[in-house]
Amino acid sequence: MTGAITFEQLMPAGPNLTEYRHAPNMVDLDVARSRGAYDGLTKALAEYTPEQVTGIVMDATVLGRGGAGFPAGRKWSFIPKGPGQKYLTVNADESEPGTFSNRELMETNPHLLIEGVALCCYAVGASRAFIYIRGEYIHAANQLNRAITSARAANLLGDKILGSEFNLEVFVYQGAGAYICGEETALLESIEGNRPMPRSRPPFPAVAGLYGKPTVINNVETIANIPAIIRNGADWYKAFGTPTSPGTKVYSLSGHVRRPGNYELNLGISLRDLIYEYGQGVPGDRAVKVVLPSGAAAPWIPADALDTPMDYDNPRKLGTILGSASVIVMDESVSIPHATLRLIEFFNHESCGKCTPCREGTLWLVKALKRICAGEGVPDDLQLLLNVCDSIAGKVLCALGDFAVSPVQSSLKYFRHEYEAMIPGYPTAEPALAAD
Amino acid sequence: MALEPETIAEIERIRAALPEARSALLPSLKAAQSERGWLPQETIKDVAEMLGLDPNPAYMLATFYTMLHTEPVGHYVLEVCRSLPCYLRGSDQVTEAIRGALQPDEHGNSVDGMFSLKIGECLGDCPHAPMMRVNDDFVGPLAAETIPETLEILRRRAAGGRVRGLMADPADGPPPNEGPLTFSNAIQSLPLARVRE
Ligand SMILES: Cc1cc2nc3c(=O)[nH]c(=O)nc-3n(C[C@H](O)[C@H](O)[C@H](O)COP(=O)(O)O)c2cc1C
Ligand code: SF4
Ligand code: FES
Repeated sequence: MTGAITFEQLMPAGPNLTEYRHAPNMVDLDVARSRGAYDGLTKALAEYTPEQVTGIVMDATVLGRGGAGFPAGRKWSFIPKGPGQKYLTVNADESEPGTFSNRELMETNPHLLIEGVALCCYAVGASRAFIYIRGEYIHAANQLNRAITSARAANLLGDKILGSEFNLEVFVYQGAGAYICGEETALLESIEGNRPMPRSRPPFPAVAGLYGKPTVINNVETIANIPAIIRNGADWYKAFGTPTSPGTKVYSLSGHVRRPGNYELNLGISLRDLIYEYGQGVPGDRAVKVVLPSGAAAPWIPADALDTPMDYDNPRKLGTILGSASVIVMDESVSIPHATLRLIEFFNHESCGKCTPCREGTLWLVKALKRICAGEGVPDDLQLLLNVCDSIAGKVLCALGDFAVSPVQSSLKYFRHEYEAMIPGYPTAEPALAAD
Repeated sequence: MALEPETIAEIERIRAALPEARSALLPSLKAAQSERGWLPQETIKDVAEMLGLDPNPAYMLATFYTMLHTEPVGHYVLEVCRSLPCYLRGSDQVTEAIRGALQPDEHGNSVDGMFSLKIGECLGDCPHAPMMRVNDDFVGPLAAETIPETLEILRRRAAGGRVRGLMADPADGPPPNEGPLTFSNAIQSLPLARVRE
């Protein structure tokens, strides 16, 4: 039904991150350098002090792409100045259902991330960086290791980089299968060889992070944005996206769309354009029922709000967030209680077990939802679901607990009738008197 | 069941590359697991002691992570993704087809010792939904109808024996596709693919 659209036509002018996604052999240093790799690092070492690099990133307003949207430049500015070991830890755990953008960035253009790592480390005075990558991303980890080896041989990493006083070692640290390792303090625990359970804060990682030292933690895409900003300046970057959410974002689109995949677009694209123009609509031309804007984790967006711009501000008006911009589309054929059960099973499986409300609460939610889906629910189950949500949200150590309640709350907010229809003997909407 | 010389060399390499010994524990356990695909208690203890660490926390690590196995597994670990994007494209039917073809025991192991079926959560390969991880490789999109054929191809490929638990040499990228067995390790070719209606 749609004519052949070439890949180039689909991209906005000047994508920053995925420009070379189809260029062969970008892991080769010469190939990458012929396309501008490490020009930003070369420029920074020649022209800017570390403080100036942080200043440019702050001016550009790079909002953290891992989900919370915290400005990267400000985060870097919290790292204490002066001597002493500091660390950068790049979060490449990417385990949120429906999220696969970091993987493509690392597989197709590993030098982009390595250059960003070097720029961040120069800015904050870190001489060691870890890229914590989920264990299943073996190909991406290999690409990063190859890129690091060749960059090191060319003195783009290692000691006295490009003749400067800046030294840097980069380690690729592979996880072993646990969503919780994406939570930044659990990630630090994992690198330290402990069971990856979140730490309580304070102290914050900027004060006492990896091995107790000041540590910056940023998402892969956040860091991958930096080289082009240093090359082209903050004003260039701010021409993309919206005034309050500058830049582009790699949206991961999955579920009921004809063309799932990663799309790097200006921040602020509407869900409608993302789904129908880029994703080429829903198979069978069925209607969109509901959209999950940030994987399993965030409150849902109903089909009548598809024109919402997907930047960092507008989803808040609907009580949700852009988060990781991993957009999962569900069409009208989906049974909402069944889909909700599947989402809660994920959180129950991935709860680290440290907090009782999260560990036990997600299990209760799974049990109640299973009962309802099996046609064995009782009318009180819907209130029970909401009560369990209240006993988890805000009463636990990390955001996983808060994530876990959103599918239940959203599905009951927009599709309560589907649950009611599954529960035998659920009181009907008509007043009882109407029977007379 | 002492550690093999190759494993010892690899652990020494890992230890030398990292700033602290405790950080070497997880990568060393993974290296030791590639000997037989899983980690007997004694192996975990050997690894911890080699690094000068207490074995008890090492057991705790091994049981926490889904990619570390403390029970015997088959030549292939099949981790079928069940998360929402794969679910929406029929992952439950795929799991049922595999279960039907393998008749696994309560640990998920097939009688011939060839396969271990595990629950997977999103593996970051949703455009190939429904998909599964086969040892180090991603395979998808899968279809319930072609599962018997896919498993047969895997069986044939395993005839040469265990290659330190890996199907593909990680340095080479994904192995060649064959019939319904399509690898999606490198996501690069993705955006132009269209899903089946
Ligand atoms: C359960 C949980 C899982 C998370 N998973 C990831 C992840 O896979 N990748 C990521 O970048 N951030 C993840 N985060 C957010 C991180 O804790 C952290 O905020 C982020 O890495 C900071 O980087 P940024 O400022 O560049 O976004 C997760 C948070 C929670 C609570
Ligand atoms: S909220 Fe859940 S995942 Fe987070 S620390 Fe507590 S138990 Fe662990
Ligand atoms: S949901 Fe299966 S790979 Fe993402």
